[in-house]
Amino acid sequence: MPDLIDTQRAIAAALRQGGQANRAAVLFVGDEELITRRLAIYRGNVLAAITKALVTAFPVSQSVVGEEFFDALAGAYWRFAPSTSGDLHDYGRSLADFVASFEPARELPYLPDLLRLEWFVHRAYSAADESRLEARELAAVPTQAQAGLRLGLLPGTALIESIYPIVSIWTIHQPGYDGKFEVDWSLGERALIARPYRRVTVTALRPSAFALYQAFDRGDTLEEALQCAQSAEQDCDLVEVITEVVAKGPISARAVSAQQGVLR
Amino acid sequence: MSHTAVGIGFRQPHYEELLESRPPLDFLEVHSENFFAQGGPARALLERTRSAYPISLHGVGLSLGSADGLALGHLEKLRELVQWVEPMLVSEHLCWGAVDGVHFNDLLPIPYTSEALEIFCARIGRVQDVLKQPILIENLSAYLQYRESEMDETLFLAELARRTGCGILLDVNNLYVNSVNFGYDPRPLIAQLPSESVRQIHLAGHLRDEECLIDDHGSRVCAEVWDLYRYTVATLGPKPSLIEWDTAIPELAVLLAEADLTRDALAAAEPNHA
Repeated sequence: MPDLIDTQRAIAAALRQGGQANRAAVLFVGDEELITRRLAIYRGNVLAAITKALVTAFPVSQSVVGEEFFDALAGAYWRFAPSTSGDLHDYGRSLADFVASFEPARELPYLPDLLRLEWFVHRAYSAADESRLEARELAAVPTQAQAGLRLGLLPGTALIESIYPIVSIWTIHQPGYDGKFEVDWSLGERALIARPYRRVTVTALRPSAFALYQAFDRGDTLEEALQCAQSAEQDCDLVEVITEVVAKGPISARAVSAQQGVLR
Repeated sequence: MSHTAVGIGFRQPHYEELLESRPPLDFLEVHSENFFAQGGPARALLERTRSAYPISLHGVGLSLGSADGLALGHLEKLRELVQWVEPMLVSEHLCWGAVDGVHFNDLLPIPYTSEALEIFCARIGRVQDVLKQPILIENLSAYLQYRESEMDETLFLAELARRTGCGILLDVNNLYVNSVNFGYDPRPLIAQLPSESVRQIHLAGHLRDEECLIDDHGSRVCAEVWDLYRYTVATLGPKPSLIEWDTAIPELAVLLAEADLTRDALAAAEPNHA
């Protein structure tokens, strides 16, 4: 009688490679044809579950490439990188990288960046809740202390710089979008994915704002971050950029709360 | 929780309608993995819901039967969820799903052997320690039977309950599907179960494929499963019961009608177990 671990390895092999069914067949009651059909039911269930998970995580990409292509992609991806978690919300992290070398997607060079964007949207949805910095809270910090603040970003915030208009592609596929269904393929976009309030938002940023967020994300002080912003967009109005970012952006209140703790 | 408690699965198409209309249900059941989120809309929804109804947490991904170990990261997420939801029940399945780091995200059957029993007992012991409460283990519908099984699934569950103090979640539809697919009468198996260990019942639909019955939880409970349910509650006594509908989800009113039928069946069984 085989050990349970060997039994499970044989079944796993049969599920991953259809042709290996004979190794697993000895484990079960019935003839080999019946067992092969029944293992096929399980394999079908597994593929259906992971495909559904990927469609849920990457709805715009599925819409763009079509159901048939996406199903085939899901199957190929699963064969290459099967799930490693009992929670299917974790599945799909490496899909963008896989597609970058996926021959059938050669004609869709924007697809990896779009998948990357959607993955960040998916993760932002379930990111931890944290208080957002209000403009008046920042204004309440003494000016000389402001420059040294290391403003962090809210959990789930992400940044992507792409040579493709991935924010526009994502936006025109959102429910309720009623603008023109077209994008300018000549433009790259810098995407901010965040959940500053209740809903996940995807925004195209100007170069200075993008540089500002990148600086915050790596722990720069406000003064250093503003310098990065100016370098990225020489002729920008820094006050305008920082005001907009603080008014609406996914900046965490934690640095200011800590600062106020120090002052008291 | 009353023996005659009736609940339904809480599913996305019904979230808003159910929370607004507040139909008379004793509890709602969710898949634990759908609420592992650290924050955001999913978590906010469950916070609202738990204020309105008792919650049963039903897990599908812990893979208690994996021979190569227990998924501690997954267990920790479940522990956090249990801590803030304060569910009336926590359940998982008599299955495995992962080996050598690969997870199949399906409910694969285990052989009913003494080796598997030892492994399951150890896992359940660990899980109950971490969660600080007993869990229920649900029987599976399976499309394959192991040659090496030494006992029936129901006897395996009974032994598991005896040794660990865990409960049994009896899915009457799964029992029925197996009885048709493998050709036996399920009633003697129900009689094998220790009544005090059976702490919840699941009811669901299935579909008839040319190969076999497929347990898809995608339709109304059929007449034969109602019969088996009535037999079950007559034999074991009334138990908290759930209508489980996971795919091709209908209008909320359909699930509520199934809940009404469940209540009727439980009421008919009550006099025998006063």
